[in-house]
Amino acid sequence: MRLEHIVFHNLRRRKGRAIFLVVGLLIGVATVVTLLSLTDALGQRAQQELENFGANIIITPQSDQLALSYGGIQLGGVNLVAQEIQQSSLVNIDEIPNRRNIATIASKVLGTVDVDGQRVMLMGVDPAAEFKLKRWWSIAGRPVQDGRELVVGDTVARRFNLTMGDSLKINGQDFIVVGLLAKTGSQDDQLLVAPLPVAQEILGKQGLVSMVEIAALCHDCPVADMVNQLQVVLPGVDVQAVQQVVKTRMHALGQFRLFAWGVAVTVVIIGALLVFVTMMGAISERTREIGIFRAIGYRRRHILHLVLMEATVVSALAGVLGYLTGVAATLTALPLLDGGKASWQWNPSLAVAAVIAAVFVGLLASLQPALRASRLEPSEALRAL
Amino acid sequence: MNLINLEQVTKRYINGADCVTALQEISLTVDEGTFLGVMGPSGSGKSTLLSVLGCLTSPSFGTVTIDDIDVYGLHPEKQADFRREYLGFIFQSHNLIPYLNALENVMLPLAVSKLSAAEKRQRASNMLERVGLPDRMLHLPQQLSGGEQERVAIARSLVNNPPLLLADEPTGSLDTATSHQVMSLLSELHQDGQTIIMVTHNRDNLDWFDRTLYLRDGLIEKDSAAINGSFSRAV
Repeated sequence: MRLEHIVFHNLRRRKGRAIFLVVGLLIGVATVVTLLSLTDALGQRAQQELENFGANIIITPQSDQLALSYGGIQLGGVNLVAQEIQQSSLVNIDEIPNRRNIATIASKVLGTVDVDGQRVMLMGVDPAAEFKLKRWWSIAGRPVQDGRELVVGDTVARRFNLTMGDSLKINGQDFIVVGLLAKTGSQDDQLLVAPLPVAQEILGKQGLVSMVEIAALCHDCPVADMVNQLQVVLPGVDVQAVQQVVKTRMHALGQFRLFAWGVAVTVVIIGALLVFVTMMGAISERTREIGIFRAIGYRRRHILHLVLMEATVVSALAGVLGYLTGVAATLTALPLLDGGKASWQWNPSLAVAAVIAAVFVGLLASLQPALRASRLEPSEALRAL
Repeated sequence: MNLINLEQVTKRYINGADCVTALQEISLTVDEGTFLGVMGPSGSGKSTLLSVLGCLTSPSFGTVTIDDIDVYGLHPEKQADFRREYLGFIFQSHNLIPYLNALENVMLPLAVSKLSAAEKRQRASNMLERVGLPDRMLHLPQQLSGGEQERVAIARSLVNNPPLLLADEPTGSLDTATSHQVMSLLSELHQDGQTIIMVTHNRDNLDWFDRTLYLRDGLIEKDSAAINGSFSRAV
């Protein structure tokens, strides 16, 4: 027979109150776990989307002149003769400290070619990297692989009335159309896309690339730092972060996370109040019992021990069940919120934190009732003696 | 040998402007091994006297010494230890914990001691056997009769081998036959050398006591021991 024995017997006898307390705290813990898990899963999903969205770092040849185009509109017949980047220098990218954050490196060469007497922009790409980077591209047919193959932008296809399998003469050489790019509403509609080595040959730019797009895995990845690192290993080029996209997404995620925390804190406070009120009621209900304990020689700290241990048991149980309920709610809600694209991943830290937080809140809310119980004078508690 | 010594003990309850004097300058000594009955009408101060002796209610004035210890000079936590080691309580309404069985109720004072689990259990079961309930150990209070509950309460009060047993109307809610059984049990304990102070209304219990104290309005009206030379403050 120890004090723990009394605690467990009391909880067993007052099942209704114990269940009420567990459920009250459980709801709080489950809400917090659900919100944080959802935020985490959606955040990761947003991150993946961000990575899929395309490049967030662009490397272009250095130029001392200001750009004279905006939104695809070239001003007043100004033509900038672009320099090129040595393709061989790109191996230096592997030397940057954050190289592990680099998901895709898509080099491309750009130039104009003659098709049936009209000037059309040809883009040579590394097919594996480019089509991975531009996941929004919808291609009827297939991407280019190697050899003289073309994927044709929507505007170009309509201009030259091209369909799958058609042949197209570029600078006097025959190419086969293997894919038609669905309308994107961007400059991509006006492109002919060919494999990089073929395009370099056609354009007379062997060993050169016009620009490089890099997709960095941005979950806790410092894009700004990476830009600086790339600038160091690639002297003579401009490296720029596409910060607008990143910042907008991160801001939205930050807002959602703040909202989640706000709701979580509110629910936890309500849970704590519920524990406090219930424990106060329990102490009033057990006044006589506490009087007996005190009369037979229990010290104040023994009473404190009894009440706080009860709170610990109930809170820990609520923490475990609340965590499990929160995970179940997350798994139920995720498909509804994100069309099943986001996935839940077990986070042991959250599991441990949920139980510790539940016990902490339970103990904090029970402290005042426990102190009140321990301060009960046996003579007052046993008025009916 | 004196076990208890009360000197000029006064207890006043103050409630706003009202002041009720429950005990007035009571001086009393009780020898070890005494079975003292405390009688008197309602409001005479019997229960207050028991509370003061039980280290439950501190007196407004005066000193209470038990086994040469000034109990109200002790730190409150030490008073709790004193109650556990020196005093056994038997309450009128048994005051058993309803969710613990008879054995566990008897072990209750031992729950905070450093005895081994086996020793606690052994002492509690021995005590239940002594009060005649060897076959009721695992019964909850609600499964026991009034007399059995009272005997469990007596076993609980004795499990720590306290020098002093304080009983408040232990037969108050029992029928005559059961009252007799309980008083027989207390008498047996007394004959084994146990000091017992018992508050009662029931004049039928008088024969069990070897000393009787009559209280009225917080004063000792009559002390049967006065004839034998024990000190009492009679009106």
